[in-house]
Amino acid sequence: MTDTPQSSRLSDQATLRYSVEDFLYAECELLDAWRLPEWYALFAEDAVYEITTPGMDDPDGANPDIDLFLVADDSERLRQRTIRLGKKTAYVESPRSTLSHLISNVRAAPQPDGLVTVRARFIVHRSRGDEIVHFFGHVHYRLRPQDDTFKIVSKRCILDFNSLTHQGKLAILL
Amino acid sequence: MTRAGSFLDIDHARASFRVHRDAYRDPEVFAREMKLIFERCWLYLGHASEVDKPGDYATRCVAQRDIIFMHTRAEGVHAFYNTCTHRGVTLCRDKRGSAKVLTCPYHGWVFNTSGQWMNTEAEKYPASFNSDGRYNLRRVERLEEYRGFYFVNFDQNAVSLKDYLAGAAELLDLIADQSPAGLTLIGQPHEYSIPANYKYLAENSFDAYHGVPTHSSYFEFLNTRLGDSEQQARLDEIMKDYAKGGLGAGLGNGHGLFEGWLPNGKPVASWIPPWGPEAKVEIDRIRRELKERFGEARMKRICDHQKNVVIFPNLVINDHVAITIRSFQPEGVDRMRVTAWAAGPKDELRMMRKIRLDNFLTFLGPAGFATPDDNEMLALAQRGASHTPVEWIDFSRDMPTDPSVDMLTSRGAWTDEHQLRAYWLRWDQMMNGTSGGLNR
Repeated sequence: MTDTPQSSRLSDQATLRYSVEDFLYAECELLDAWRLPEWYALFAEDAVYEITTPGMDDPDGANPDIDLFLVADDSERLRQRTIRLGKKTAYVESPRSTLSHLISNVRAAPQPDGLVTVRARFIVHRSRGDEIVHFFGHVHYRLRPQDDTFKIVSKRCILDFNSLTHQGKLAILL
Repeated sequence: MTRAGSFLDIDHARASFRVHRDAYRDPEVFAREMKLIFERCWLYLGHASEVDKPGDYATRCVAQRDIIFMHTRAEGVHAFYNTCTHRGVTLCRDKRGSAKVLTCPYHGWVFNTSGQWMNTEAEKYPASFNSDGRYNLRRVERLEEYRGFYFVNFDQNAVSLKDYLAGAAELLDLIADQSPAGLTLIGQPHEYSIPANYKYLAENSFDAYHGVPTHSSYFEFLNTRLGDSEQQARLDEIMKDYAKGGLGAGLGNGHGLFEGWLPNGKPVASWIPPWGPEAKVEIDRIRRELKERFGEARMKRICDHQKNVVIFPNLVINDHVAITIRSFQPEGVDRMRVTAWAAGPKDELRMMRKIRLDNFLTFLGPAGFATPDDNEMLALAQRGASHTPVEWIDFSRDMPTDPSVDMLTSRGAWTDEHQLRAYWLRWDQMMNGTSGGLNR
């Protein structure tokens, strides 16, 4: 049986989603294992990594240049963040939390500029000592296809709750 | 059994100043604090820029009371208890908004923005029903403003806010004066919690002693930012003897501050190389403008000095890498809720606003490079207090041996503990029923 144009499109979509999911699962694995330099290496040189402030107006569209985020790192500060979190003197994560990053509901779409935009939902379970907290929400990625995999050009995590009153702080990476 | 009398153990001969740990761990002490301190002190409510226009309002909880912070349509800014006068239901459920009237979700009772009950059912309620105003929203006992900062007091007989602020008022001036256009809050605040007694955060907020040990990972980051610059050379010089980097002082009535001069960049207005040459032009312009208005010395104090001010009992204003207004509400003896707003000049250029927010997120906030480590220390302090029988904790660094020194206003290096002793002395006075004439 030969491919019709429609089934070819379906197959392209399935392939794209498979490769994106595979990439995101690998990212989750690195974060759970605290392999921070390897995680940082997933990002492009001009990347941004953002977490919006719970309860802010329009977190999907907000601009960190004029609005208060929780995290709005350029590539260099993200590198510094991973370096800091690797130190014993980053007391909030020393000893380290045990993390479980889950990602689901993945939708990937190729863009005319060659990038792939991704929407997904995430849950991160964090435990340390007797403490257990959960972070959940949705995430927007822009990925640049490169050498059979991707580089993260931007990642914006939107926490779908109204304050950090329950979690206290967000010192881990999402 | 709850401790009676003073919680302090002051021994001038030994230069020792200790606080009994029951102050942090005894639920009965907490209940007394809510009466003797939180019902008598001026407590931060909000900033004028939150309720800019008539009808604008914000709701929040202050000292376990739900309050509506309202710019009325007829008579300026007021604060009401957020409860309907019919069945007591929480009236206003939005965190912020603009209202023509407030309508209770339960039975539909309506109030205008001045809190007056509106009779929408004249056939059921006679004209005399509210003739004495008993069905109007209840106003918070006192509401006063200083330089755009609004405070409430639940004691009708408290002295004025200005008198209460004492030496802390000048620090609010130094922030409010940063631009002729005034100050505004930026976006929505960070809201988080810390599993610790609220007083641990007050202490931590103007304690420069912990700066280097707790935040070494922040200073290492700063070193990478400054590179091979004049600022780095100055920072290196200060880090050789960190105590010389600033002063600490009690400001009267339990308030206090530390004030430092680290060259780590301040949006108004101290430049560092990573901000680039364009920012330097703007920073130089701001410095000239401030010098014209206030002279060289005050300009330098506004621009080059980091100030962490604690306004007794539960407000911190940081004016260093960025401006934060941090109010913390005790929710029990071992838990507090923190709301931290970013603020900046209303007319700040977009380039400088970006730098300010960048700076804020680098150091501050529950996902910053420093604040989470503070929160960890506070939780560990609470753990120590709650789970060991050890009674005393210490605030003796540079304690005066001369008993005639007024510890509410004494001063020293920023890494000393003058400002912390001032806070505790005031706290202890109020817990023993005296308020130094601040409540009639």
